[in-house]
Formats: sequence, structure tokens, C-alpha cells
Amino acid sequence: MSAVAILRRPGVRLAGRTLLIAPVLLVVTMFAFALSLLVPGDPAHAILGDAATPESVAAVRAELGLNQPVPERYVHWLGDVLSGDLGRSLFGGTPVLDSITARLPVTISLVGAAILLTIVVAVPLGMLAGYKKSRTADRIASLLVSVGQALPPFWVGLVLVAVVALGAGLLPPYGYVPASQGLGPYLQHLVLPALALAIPGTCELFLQTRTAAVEVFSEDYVRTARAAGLSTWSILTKWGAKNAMVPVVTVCGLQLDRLIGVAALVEAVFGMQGIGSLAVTAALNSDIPTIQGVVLVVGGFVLVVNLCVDLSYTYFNPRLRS
Amino acid sequence: MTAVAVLPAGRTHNWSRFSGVILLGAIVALLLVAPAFAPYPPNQTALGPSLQGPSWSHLFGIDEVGRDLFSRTLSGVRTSLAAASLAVGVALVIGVPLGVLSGYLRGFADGLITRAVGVLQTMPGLILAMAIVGAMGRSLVNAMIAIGIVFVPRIYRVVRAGAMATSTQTYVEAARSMGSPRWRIMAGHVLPGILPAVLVQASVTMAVAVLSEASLSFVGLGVQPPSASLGTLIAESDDYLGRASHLAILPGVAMVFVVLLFTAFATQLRRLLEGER
Repeated sequence: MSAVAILRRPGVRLAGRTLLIAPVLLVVTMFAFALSLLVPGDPAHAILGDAATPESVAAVRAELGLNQPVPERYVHWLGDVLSGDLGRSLFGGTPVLDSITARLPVTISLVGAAILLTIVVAVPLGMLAGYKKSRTADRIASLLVSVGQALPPFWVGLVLVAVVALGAGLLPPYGYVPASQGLGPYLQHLVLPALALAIPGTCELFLQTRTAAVEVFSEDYVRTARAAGLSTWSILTKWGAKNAMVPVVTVCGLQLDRLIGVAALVEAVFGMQGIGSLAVTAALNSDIPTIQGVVLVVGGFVLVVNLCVDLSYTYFNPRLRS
Repeated sequence: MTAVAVLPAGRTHNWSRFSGVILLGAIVALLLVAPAFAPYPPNQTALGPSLQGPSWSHLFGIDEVGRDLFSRTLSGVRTSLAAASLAVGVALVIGVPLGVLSGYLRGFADGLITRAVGVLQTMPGLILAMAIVGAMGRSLVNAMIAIGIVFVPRIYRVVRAGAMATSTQTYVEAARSMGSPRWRIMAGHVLPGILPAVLVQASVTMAVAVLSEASLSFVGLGVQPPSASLGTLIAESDDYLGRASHLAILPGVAMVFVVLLFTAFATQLRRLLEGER
């Protein structure tokens, strides 16, 4: 087997792509570390407060390793991170890794539900809009979409709480219930925040799907399928959907980046103890180790998602495999 | 359309091309001076009625300590606009020089800068901004610097693409052949050529910046009370959602209006500059 053929094997390609994210991840760790250098003033003073004496400050500085040069501190810190030690919160002293893993299910549920909602609503509607071209419907849709994209999820969340939860009393206004305590309450608590989070992304995905669908439906193979007497339904699902998936997956990947950030605010509105609200609290308290932990976990997660999006292209469109 | 098409490119035609940009620009200018004409001082509390809905004397109603919400929203819009301008300014100051350098010089510098900006782009913007504010200490200026840094890739990409296209133009080549120093070609020939595109992108970014300011101020990382910004107004309403939901809804509508205003402005500007319509 030639070298080129080996390089083209799926497993090798996967490994190559995975290796490529390593340098980016390294830069993310540098950024996370650099955050501690942005803090104004002496961290030792901040920890000791009014009780600071020159001797105690010197002792704390030595304990924190602040007298070492910056690159040395970075390498030391990176070593800790790689061995799974993200440090302890400056407030309460909980290990950062523990508070992140405890909150991960909340954010994953919220973002997952929002993505699911986005896809379930936007993809069929976008395919339909791309298949049946109607000027009036297009105009109404594009108006709704531009308004929808401007709606900030945290505000939509507040309005939903005011109208649906507090006004009509249909759903709980805040909180999160783990799925282990019953699927019903779990879903009931997720509906409103996921809805608020999903609206701008749904609008964006709808537009992308429609554009992709218009393109796909004008392709020769779709015309051939239609000429061969295949039903509209099977054209839509079999040829249309799979080929229109490439831009859809791209947008979903991009959405995920954005959703994780915006989820922080939605979690704050709905009083959900997720990664985002952890980031908010940490930022409000200047709790640097926790902030660094969140940046590392979120950054790593986004890189992995982008990798998956990249790899999925070749599944949905085999022409990209060459 | 047919009637217009027959007309020579006269004044009416030009006017109609400019009208959208002028109209929307005028609305933005109005929003900036509006607080001076507000019916009440924005921070003036009053004993007596509180948490009342909209009425003729108080268009947006009254908040929990008797302040007029309409006046507060006007002042909040201006604060948000000023904050968003600061963020976009930071993004321009960093993004434009980097983009011109990258796009004109190409090669190693380009590769390095593009990679670095790419990493910045992989992080969710709000988390990144929150991290930077958390490290630098919370204040409106720090929040806007953080958002500005997050927006650098948006400006950088447009400038870099523009600079690459412009640097192959004949007039740039002429300047190069006459031996102009590189910095002068970049500042005097490449940069002016891409300004229109930068203007459009800055306008789009303003819309996102207004949302980002509101987001950070909403969780207490931006504007600090009692100053009103769109974000703090909505945050203050949180406690009275059940009794006075207009306190959350009306400033939010104002925010969506401002965002759409900048999006529309950018669209009009792009059409004008591309000579469409």
C-alpha cells in the first residue's frame, strides 16, 4: 500500500485531525494562564486583605510561587492542569474540577435541548421553504427571522417567565431538576430556558437550510429523481436532506459555540446551577482559578465539537473525501 | 421600477440611494440627544405610586422606586450606545492594523496572526469576555475592552480579505513600483480602499455589541447601578416580574429596536457602497 493510500484511510485521517487541535489547545491553556497575569495588584495582598504584613505577604508569595519567572509558573501550572488539578476556588476552597463536573449535566441538558429544538423546528421548515418557493411566505419568514435573530435569549427568558410561568402558571419559573428525579419535572424545567436559548439559532439555521435546500433542489440528480417518478417525500428526505446537511451541521457547530456563552445568561435568569452561572459568579468575585477552569473546559469542548463537525462533512457529502 | 430605470442618473436617483442611510443615521443621532428631552430626570425617585404600568404621563410606566421608565430607557439606550461604540472602537484599533499587515504582507506574519485570531474565535465570546472582566475587575470600561477583544476576529477577517484584494490593484502596484515605503502604501493606499467594508462591518458589530453590553450588564459585569443601561434596566426588573412585567418587556423592546436599527443601517450602507438598487 502506498503512503498516500495509508494517509487516506479514515482512521489515519481521524488521528491527523485530532493531532491538529493539540497546538490550538495549548494556546487556550496559555490564554487561561495569562488571565492570572491580568489581575491588577498583588494576589498575595488580595488573599491576606487588611491583615497583610510584609512578612506574611512574602510568605504567601513564596507559597503561590509568585517569585518564579512567568514561563516557569506557566509550565508548573500546566503540569497541574494535565494531571487533572485545576486548583481550588478562592471562595470556599472547593476543587474547581469538582464544581465543574457537578454543574456539567445542567449545561449539557440546557444546550442539548436547545440544539434539539433548533434542529427539529428549523430543518423541516427550512427544507419546506426551499422546496415550495412562495414570495409572500418568504417575505414574512425573512421579517420574522431578522427580528428573531435580534432577540436576546436572556430577555426572551424573562418574558417567558413573566408570561408563561408567572402569568399563566403553565411551567415552573426557575430551577433545574436532575433527570434522576423524574423525567417529567426534568423536561418541564428545561422547556422555557431551552426555548429562550434556541430562538436566534433557529432563525439562523432556518435561513441556512432554506438556502442549501434551494441549491440542492435545483441539482440535476434531484431533477432526475423527479423524472424517474419518485415521490416528493422521498426526494425531500433521501436526496434533499442528506445533501443539505453540510451547511446545517456547520451552523449547528457554530451555534454550539454561541449557545454555551449565551447559556450563561439563560442559566442566570432561570436560576440554573450550570457552567455558565459558575462563570458569572466566578467573574463577579474575580475567582481566577474557577474562571481558568471554565475557560479550559469550555475551550476544550468547543474544539472537540469543531473537530466532529469537520469530520462529519465527509459522511454527509462523500465528494469531499478526495 | 421601470419609470426610474428610464430616468438618467439624476438627483432623485442619488437621493433615493442615500435616503435609507440618512434616515437610519438620523434616528441614531436622535437617540443620542434624546435623554436631554426626557420628560423626567432618569434617576429621580418619587414617593407615591410605584410599579405602575404605562400611562400618558409615564409612557413606559414607573419602576419600584417611582422612577420614570421611559426617561430611564432613553438614558439607558445612550449609555448602551456609548458602551457599544467603545467596544467596537477597541476591536477596530486592534483588528484594522492586524488585518492590513496580514493581508498586505502575507507570508509568515499573516500565518501567525491568522492562527492567533482563529484561536480567539474558537472560544464562546461571552465566556471569554466574562473571563477577561473577572480578571481585570468589573467596570464598564473593562467590560467593553473585553468585548472589543472578542470582536477583533470580526473586524480582522474583513480587513484582511480587503487588504489582500486591494494590494493587487494597479494603483497599489504603481505606488510600489515608485518605491513608496511599505507603511505608506498600507496606510495611504490599502487602508482607504477597504474603509467602506470596515464601516459596514463596524455597523453590524455595533448591533452585536449592544446585545453584549446588555448581556454583561444584566449579570452585573458591565454598567454598575444606579446608572441605567439596557442591561441593568432589565436586570432590575427581575424581582418584579410577576407584578410588573412591563419593567422587563419595554426596555427589551427598546434594545431589540436598537439592534435592528444597526442591522438595517449596515444593510443600507452596504447597498449604497456596492451601488446596488
